[in-house]
Amino acid sequence: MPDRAEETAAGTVAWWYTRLTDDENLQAALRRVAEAGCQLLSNCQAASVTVIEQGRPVTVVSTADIALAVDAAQYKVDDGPCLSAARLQRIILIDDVAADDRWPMFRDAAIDEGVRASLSIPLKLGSAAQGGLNLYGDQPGAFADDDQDLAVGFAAQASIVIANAQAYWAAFDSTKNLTAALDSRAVIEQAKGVLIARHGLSDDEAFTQLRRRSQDANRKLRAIAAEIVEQARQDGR
Amino acid sequence: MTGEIDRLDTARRQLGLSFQDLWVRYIGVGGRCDAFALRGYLTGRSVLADVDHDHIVLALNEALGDACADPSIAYRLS
Repeated sequence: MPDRAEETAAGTVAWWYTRLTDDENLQAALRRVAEAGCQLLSNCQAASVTVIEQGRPVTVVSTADIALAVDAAQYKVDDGPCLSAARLQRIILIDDVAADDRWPMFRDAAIDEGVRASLSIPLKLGSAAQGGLNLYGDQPGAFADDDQDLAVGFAAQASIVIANAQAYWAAFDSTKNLTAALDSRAVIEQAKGVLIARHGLSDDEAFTQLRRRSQDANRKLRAIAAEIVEQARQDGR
Repeated sequence: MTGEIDRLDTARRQLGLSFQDLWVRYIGVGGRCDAFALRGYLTGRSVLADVDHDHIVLALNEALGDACADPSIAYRLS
């Protein structure tokens, strides 16, 4: 019989995969990671996801403003449990924030926001970025040992989901760009056809003439082509 | 000739475009070669006609213009 961690993690991942293509972007997938991570642990008060790209950390999603404030205090001094977890790719648990002196800036901001315990879990985001899931609790000892095990299993699966979401959205963007390129190309081919019919040019000569007009007018080839096609349409009426 | 092609690939890198990104832009201005031929040309492993070269120049010059840089790569065909 599966234990609580296995059951919850398996159910959560299945739900994620069915929802992957429903998200409007990668950020929506990350938001679900933060929300699901927080729901998984009974004493979690707020959660956020930190992404570090080119050395600069950003909270890409958070479930509550307190997580944003506590994350921001760490970014200000470029140090803190969530940054260390992401950079060193290791779990950092703080049972009692008030009794931990390793990161004073984080400690003070956390106490101000009512955060008394934190659990920072590294996320694998590919070679270009580092990431971490930050879980905050409002009581010392909010995250027990089995919560840690649960969060670690969750983070491992969250990393897979994020990698899939990254691949999905990269492919989506690529398809979108290609579709736009093919639309532009269709107009250019039509304009070349007009020039070939009117002036008896070859295909290459028609392109060179279009390109020259584009250069002289300092406008994109597609815009020049669209005008030629529109003019031909009007002339044909 | 080599310097001319190096200029294209330098511009591609400066613009942060992968070979695939440039190929999509090249197709968008009417380019006819596949992505392998374009990559081969820019890496000195294959030859393209002057008009195909000019399609690449146009794709790069338009990308330079989008990036508010000077679209000054010279065309081969006048």
